[in-house]
Amino acid sequence: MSGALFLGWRYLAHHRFKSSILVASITLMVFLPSATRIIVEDSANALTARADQTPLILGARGSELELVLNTLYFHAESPATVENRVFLEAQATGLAEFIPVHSLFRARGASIVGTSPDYFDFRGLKIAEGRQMGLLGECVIGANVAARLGLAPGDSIVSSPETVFDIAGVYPLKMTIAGVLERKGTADDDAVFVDVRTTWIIQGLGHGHTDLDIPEAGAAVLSRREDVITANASLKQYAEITPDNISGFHFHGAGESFPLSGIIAVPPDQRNGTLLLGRYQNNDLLQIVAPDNVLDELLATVFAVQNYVILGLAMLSLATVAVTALVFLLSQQLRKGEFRTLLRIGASRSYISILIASELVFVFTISVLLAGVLTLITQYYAVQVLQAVLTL
Amino acid sequence: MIYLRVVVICLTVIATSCDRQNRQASSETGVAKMQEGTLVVTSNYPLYFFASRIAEGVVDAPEIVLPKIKGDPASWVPSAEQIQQLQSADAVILNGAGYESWLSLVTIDQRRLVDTSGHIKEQLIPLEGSLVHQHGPGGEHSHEGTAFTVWLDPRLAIVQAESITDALIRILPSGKTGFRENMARLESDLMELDASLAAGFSRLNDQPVLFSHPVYQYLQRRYELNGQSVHWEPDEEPSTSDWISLQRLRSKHTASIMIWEGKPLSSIAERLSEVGIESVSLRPLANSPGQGDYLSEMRADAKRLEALLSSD
Repeated sequence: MSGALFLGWRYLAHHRFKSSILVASITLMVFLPSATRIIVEDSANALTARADQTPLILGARGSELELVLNTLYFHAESPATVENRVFLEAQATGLAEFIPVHSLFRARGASIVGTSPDYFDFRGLKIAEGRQMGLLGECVIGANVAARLGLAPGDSIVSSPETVFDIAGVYPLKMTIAGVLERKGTADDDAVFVDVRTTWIIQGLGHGHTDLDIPEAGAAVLSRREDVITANASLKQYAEITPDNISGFHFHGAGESFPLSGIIAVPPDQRNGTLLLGRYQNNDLLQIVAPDNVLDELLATVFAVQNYVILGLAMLSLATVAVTALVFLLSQQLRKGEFRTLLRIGASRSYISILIASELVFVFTISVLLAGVLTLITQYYAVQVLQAVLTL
Repeated sequence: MIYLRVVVICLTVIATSCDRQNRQASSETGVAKMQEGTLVVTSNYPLYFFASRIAEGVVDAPEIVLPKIKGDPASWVPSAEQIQQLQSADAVILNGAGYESWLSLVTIDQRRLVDTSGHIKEQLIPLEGSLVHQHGPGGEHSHEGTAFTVWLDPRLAIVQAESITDALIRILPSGKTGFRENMARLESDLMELDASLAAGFSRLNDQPVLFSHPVYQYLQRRYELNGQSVHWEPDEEPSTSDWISLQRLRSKHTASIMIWEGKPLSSIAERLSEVGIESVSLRPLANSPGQGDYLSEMRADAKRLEALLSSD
């Protein structure tokens, strides 16, 4: 018995190339479906975890998915917006805690997220280094942004201009980094957080300039009649908010009309949540969505695709099994002389059967073990590998 | 297209979630609150005084703080450390009526703000003559507001103090009885001050008065004063044009008393006296007085005012 196992092992070892191909084929046959399932389930879990933590999102009527993805992951390019009035009115209902989100701009590849301090409590975000933003123009950055750009508290980051050719458009604002957030393994790690009013300044809805009422501003004054002063284009507007010029910053127009890309609603209980859903149900301009429902619909599609992929892999596995069987059968034909010799020197037919079976068992055992190890590696390291691939 | 973005987001999500040990389950409600010692920050001295009086002697009452403010709290811009204190407070007691201009510059949890004039919005006095300016494509605009020295009308000050009481009860429900008792005493004191000021001003008999600064709108309305404001500082010599403007104003408004925010320089008081105007200070006490407290100083000012008017 042990002699048959030894001979089987020696045969596989001698024909290393053929054995390796067999092992690799069977390993992939076992590994690929399980790896697909792990990756899909992992991404689905990560995707739904953030959605599950976010009870409701209020925003402009349109694509529910667009609203959810932008509010949760700050990814939309030009999301539909609602007026700040919607936020103030929702707040006045007292049905939930409402958190504004303004995610329209970027700074060195990271999304600038304008929000209120409630957001940090809501997401459980803690400051790892520095302090919470205090004055307009200050920001706190996610751990990945800090690591990727080599930034620390006290440094600054400049918002990207909306368009190079729009001279009258959005001007970059130099923001001082007040703090760096602890890593959370979420989209927050890749964002630059500012007060929502800072995003309105970036948008040009508020700005700072020299006081037009002082003599130093004389060159910038085009006309002065009674209580009305008109400035010319030379009026210096500040590109950075500092303690020295902050009092010169102000907003134009009613703050109620300023835009928000989404509003997170956190009702204290299910009853208030239902009341809130009912409140916006028939609104032509607004919609309120439960992100987990929206993403469940999306994931149903993803899982359907996954099932097709696994079905395809199962077909491939059948083909692999057939090819493996063929390889073994052909191999037996080629080894007829070898088996005849064994019979002549006294080996029984059952001994030869054990020898062939042992080779099969070795190949399958090694393949399954390898597939198991690869699955474990996938489970623990696939994310790092994906991250490395994504950052290439 | 959107599905392509979803795929990118899925990959990004999974990539950014690599640090599994750092994954933390969020709280059930989604809003985690920091539980720290109770702290109440006030934005000017009258509010600090009211809050301190209401919290006085109540077990486990919050610590009442007035940040160190140089000059007028109405033009205060908090430092980084003061902002951190404001952010960590359980309640920030505001005067409201546009008094806290710093509020538009600071990131602070709106839920912790207590606008003590929020219930009397319809009683706020709009400011006139805001400077209109224009630059860029935005069109003409001005930075308008309302008069903010609300506490100079003691009856409105009582409403403000009631807002503070409610806020303190929200922070420490067990102290409700103590807060209410203290509030009743404070209300009585403020009513007494109101009576004292009313008695003093009644001696004016509709005689015109001047205010050194346009900060007495609520006082003027409360005591039906026939007053006009100039823009003089007690520690700055008025310019020639200021004196000329005063002369012009007096041709229409023959006031013989000027009420000051602080004691004016003796040179100013003497020159005013020469033209028949007596100076008396009635300090708004927006910032902490060097000695005494809000009530004792207001009573002292009211007494001085009454004495001056009695001697006329």
